[in-house]
Amino acid sequence: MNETRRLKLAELGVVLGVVPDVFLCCASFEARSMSVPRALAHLRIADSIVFANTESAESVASFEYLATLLGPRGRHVQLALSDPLRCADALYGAVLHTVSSHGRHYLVDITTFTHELLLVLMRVLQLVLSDKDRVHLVYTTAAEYSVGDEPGSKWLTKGIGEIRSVLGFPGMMLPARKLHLVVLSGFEGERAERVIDQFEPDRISVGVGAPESSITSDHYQINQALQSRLAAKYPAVELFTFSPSDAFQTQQAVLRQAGRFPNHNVAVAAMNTKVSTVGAALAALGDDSIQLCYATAHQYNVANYSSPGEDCILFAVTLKTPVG
Amino acid sequence: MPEPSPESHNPFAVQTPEGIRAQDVVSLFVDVFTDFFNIPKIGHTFLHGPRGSGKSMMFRYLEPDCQCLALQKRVPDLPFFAVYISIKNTDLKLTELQRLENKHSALVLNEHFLVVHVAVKLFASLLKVDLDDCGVTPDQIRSFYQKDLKRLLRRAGWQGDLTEIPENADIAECLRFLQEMFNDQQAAVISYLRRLSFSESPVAYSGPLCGYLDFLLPLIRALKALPFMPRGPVLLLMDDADNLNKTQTTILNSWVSCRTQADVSLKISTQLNYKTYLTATGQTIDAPHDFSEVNISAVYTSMKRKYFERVSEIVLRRLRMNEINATPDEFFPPYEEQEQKIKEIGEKLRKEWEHSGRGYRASDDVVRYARPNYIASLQGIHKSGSTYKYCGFEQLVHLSSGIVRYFLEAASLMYGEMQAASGSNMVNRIDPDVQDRVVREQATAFLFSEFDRWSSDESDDDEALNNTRRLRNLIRALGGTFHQILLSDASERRVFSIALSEDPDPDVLEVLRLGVRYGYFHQSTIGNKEGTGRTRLYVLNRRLAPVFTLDPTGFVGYKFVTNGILREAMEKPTTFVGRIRRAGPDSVFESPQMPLFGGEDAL
Amino acid sequence: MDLEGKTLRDWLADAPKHQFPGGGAPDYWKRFEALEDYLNTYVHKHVTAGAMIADGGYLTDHGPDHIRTVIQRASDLARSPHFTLTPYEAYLFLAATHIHDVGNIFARATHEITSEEVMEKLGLLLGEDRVEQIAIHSIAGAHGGTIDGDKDKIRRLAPEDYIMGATIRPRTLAALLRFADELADDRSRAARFLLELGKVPKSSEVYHQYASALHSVVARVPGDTVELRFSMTKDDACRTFGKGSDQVYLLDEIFERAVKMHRERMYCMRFLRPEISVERIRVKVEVFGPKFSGTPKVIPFSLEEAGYPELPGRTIHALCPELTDHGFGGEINGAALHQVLAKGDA
Repeated sequence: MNETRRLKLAELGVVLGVVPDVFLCCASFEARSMSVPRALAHLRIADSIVFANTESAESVASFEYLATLLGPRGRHVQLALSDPLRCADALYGAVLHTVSSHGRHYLVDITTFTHELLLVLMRVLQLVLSDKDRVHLVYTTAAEYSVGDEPGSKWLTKGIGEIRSVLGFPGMMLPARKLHLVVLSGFEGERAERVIDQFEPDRISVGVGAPESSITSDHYQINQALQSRLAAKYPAVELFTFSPSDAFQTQQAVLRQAGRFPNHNVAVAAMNTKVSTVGAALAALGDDSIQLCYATAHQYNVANYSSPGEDCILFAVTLKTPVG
Repeated sequence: MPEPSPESHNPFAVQTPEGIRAQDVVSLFVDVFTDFFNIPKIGHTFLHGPRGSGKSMMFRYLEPDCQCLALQKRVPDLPFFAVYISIKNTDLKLTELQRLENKHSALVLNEHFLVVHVAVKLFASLLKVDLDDCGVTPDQIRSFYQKDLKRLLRRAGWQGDLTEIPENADIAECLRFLQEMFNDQQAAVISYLRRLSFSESPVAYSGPLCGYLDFLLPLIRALKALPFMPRGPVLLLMDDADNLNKTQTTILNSWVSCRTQADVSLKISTQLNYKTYLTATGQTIDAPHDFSEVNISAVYTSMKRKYFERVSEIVLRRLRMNEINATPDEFFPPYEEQEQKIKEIGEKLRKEWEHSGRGYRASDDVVRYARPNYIASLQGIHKSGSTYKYCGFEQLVHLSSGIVRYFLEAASLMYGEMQAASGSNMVNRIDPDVQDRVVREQATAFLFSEFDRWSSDESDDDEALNNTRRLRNLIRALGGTFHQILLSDASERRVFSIALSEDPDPDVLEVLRLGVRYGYFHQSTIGNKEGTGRTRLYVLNRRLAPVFTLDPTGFVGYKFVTNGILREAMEKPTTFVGRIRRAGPDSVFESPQMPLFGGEDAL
Repeated sequence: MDLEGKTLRDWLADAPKHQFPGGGAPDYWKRFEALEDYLNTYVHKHVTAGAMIADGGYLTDHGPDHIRTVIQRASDLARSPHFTLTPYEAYLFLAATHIHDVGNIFARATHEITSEEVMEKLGLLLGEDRVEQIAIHSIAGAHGGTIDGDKDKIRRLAPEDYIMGATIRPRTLAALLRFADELADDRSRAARFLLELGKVPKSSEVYHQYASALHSVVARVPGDTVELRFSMTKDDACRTFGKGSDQVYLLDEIFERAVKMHRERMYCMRFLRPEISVERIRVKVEVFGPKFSGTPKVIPFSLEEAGYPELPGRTIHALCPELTDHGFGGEINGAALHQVLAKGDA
């Protein structure tokens, strides 16, 4: 059942019903990295894993807080984001360590994993877990992004560093075919434009958050502005909508859009919420020909990236049988 | 990029050359090979230039379908057969390949991956042209497959049966069959790589392995023996080779080190981010021994007239193709009131030259000082200088800073705005206000794509400094400085460049390199201060002129700087600019004896 | 390296399993044994005959004895105190040694290449990993011939590479094989019975006489020297032997082959130094009376790189052909450059 629920963080423990066996989260410079762990601290989950980017001082600070919060039951796994292979091996090893023949209930706070790590984690869960395991994903919404900045000046990241395929999702990029790039655009339209410029695809599909499912109405307006700018720069770009708050709807939207141009290689860049990124992962898990890619940034708005909201989005995913 | 819909066709829409039809390429293409004469000739060549500088268009034009149209020749009569091999960002540089590094023969597997990619593109090129009247029959292609290709595949380790080309296949079907075979091979490699994703130990590979010398080269030679192929070399046009991983780059360099030019010449384009010049066996390849090298930015930054002529031709062709009967100057008119005022200032300078002139001729003073004086006069009235209008074809060309795409992108946005404002599909000119607004927006977007915006009350001590922050500060400092020089009484006020008066320290060089990579500087060399050799020259991208209110039409001015000056600019930009404002640029910089380009700087 | 008095083959047999990729699975020694057994039984003894059928000549022996000799020579060289080989490298080397001449079955001229067809036939005897097979083939293939007209095949191999998680040195292994093969031409290769009966085909006579005359090859690796000892009778010294369509003296053939060995030494040492260093070849030719009686006349000589490297007749233009036509209308030199610059054509 592909049910997605939006609820208050304070209700999360109650709504879950049973205490999860395994909790996974990622420390970050964002305060949101602490929202779900705080909300669930009283549950004393038996097996908790905190991942942290050792290359960021701010992440290390959050990591230490979370380590303290989760207490001696918590395991700490360090990641170096500039080395995707080592990160993947660390994720794989950490998840493998939690496996039991009886099946376990996993809860993953996806809020502050990087998009790339989250995608890799989805593949790891698919490979490692069995059909006896249950997986819930939870995402803390943001009250505001680029806190305090005017709408026209908001920024989350600057610059595009490297663009790479995500480990586990190489797709099937055949040289005889042309490239169809699907971008799930988020807050940063300029970033989407630059990713498009770097790829120089033959076909472009840009997904914008649907108004009824945008996280906030401000986000929707920002997306609208992007839409107009992209249409001006790339006259033949195809626009489609997806749901930033519903992974399954996003999954269907991505699959539908990917199928718009047969005999094209499809690369998907998920640059919206982590929920929609999970949607992209679900699409690619079900269709091996879809490549997922990730663009690193030169700079992050570490000081004012976001402020945590009071709500979260909770949904269960099934990873062992073909999805979609 | 895909083609725009016909009803809203924008003559300046930027399209990926790969997707443009041959007829359109031949119509649009302006012959630049007199500027870059090595490219269509035998021999390996590297072609460097930022995105949008015209590399892909050159390559597209060299493809046989375009050449047949342009030269009005059949394929066998062409001087060469070019195979366009675009390397998209994540085509070949799959993250899974990193599993092989230092573990399991990264070299042979990456080479196989690259060779198969090239082979598919080779047959794609053949499929694009009409071979029906070139003296080749399907049986000859079958024979090539039976005698040559099968043997090469077996030698490469192909196990199992090799299916036959269908009996009644025509030439195109035969070629498509062969292309699909390589496509399938590529799929097999990707399937193998998928197994590597989460495997820490090596995974055995049992498929064939094709190398350049033992497979691709003999394959191309065998193809060349067929009657439809030209006698000249096969040019492998590797577009955007920056998108190869490091191992693939060393492999490509190994190909360059082979003396195969008579049969296969490699033409490799990069966006100035090529990973290494080492070969797979640890040697270096060098220009001019192993290859010739062209840097488009360097050519067009120094050959200003040439670039202007190129852009004029490009624009004229696009206008004509869209039945717009205007010259580029007419289509992009300047702001008449502004030009009139500049003209009046120029006349005044001409009259005063005999008594107080500084240039060799009166016209020198007009060129050097009329526009800067105008900008300075606006400063006095409006305290910001922001009413100077960047418009007129000449200014727009200068602002594009040697990169055609910058011009076309801006023009495309301008055209779109005019269409929207007029409600009509046909636009016959771009209003100066629209020109000015678009280039200002583009300049701001360009600058702040990498940096967060600075504020006027930002302190020098506010942020921790990394290289990105240093670069931001440096650009802010230099832009502010160049503006101060423009307003000053200096003999040369249109300064856009800095030259290093000493060897740069590693930390300074790192920031400058970053600036070149991001496109904020072009790098070149110039005679050093002492006249004993050459030193590095960094030219600020003219696209940034509107941000700092600079005159983009001047090429001549540059200043010598030391490491200390640059470091100060990187660490304390506001203090730096403040000092220049108070004490003048000569308190910090030393002016060169000689101008950049022999004194003549008017178009 | 200390081979404990064994050849590389026997040393491989005793190498600990955990030192191979996979830590013992597959069992590389067993794989090598199976390969060796198959080739010795079904292939090697036919190599010489196969080439004769293909070519019409009569090669010196390229069968199991020759392989053994190559391994012996390589083992002698490997005993250099500064040289090391991992067990996996030894496996690759020995596998390459076994296949390096097998292409002779098809044709002498390009036998390095057609070894691939034999490799294909060997199938899983060489393991299932194609990359490993290619590595073996590349090492074997570098022992002669050209790639695209270039004889410098060893340089095209990587100095270091990785297979199945293990580091290998393809250049080193190829150079070791190539030089060991060069040293492996001795009496055991000659078809002596046929020689004595005068039944060796005329075109191949001198090859067999050469091999028959070469009775001792010793690689003194601490000592940097290879010693060759030839002995012949006066009768053999005074007559000519068939070589293709020509007739040559045995001593001249010895000289020619010594020069070739010297060239091979210089070439291979480029890739073997500093771990293995052979700096000279010392040759002693003894000419005895009939039936090798009496006191021999001795002709000793040494081939080594000594003295200042003169390049008689080798100007910069001969060494660098690219300078003969520089677009200035001919050979570029100071005067030509001056002329061009003065005209303002630069």
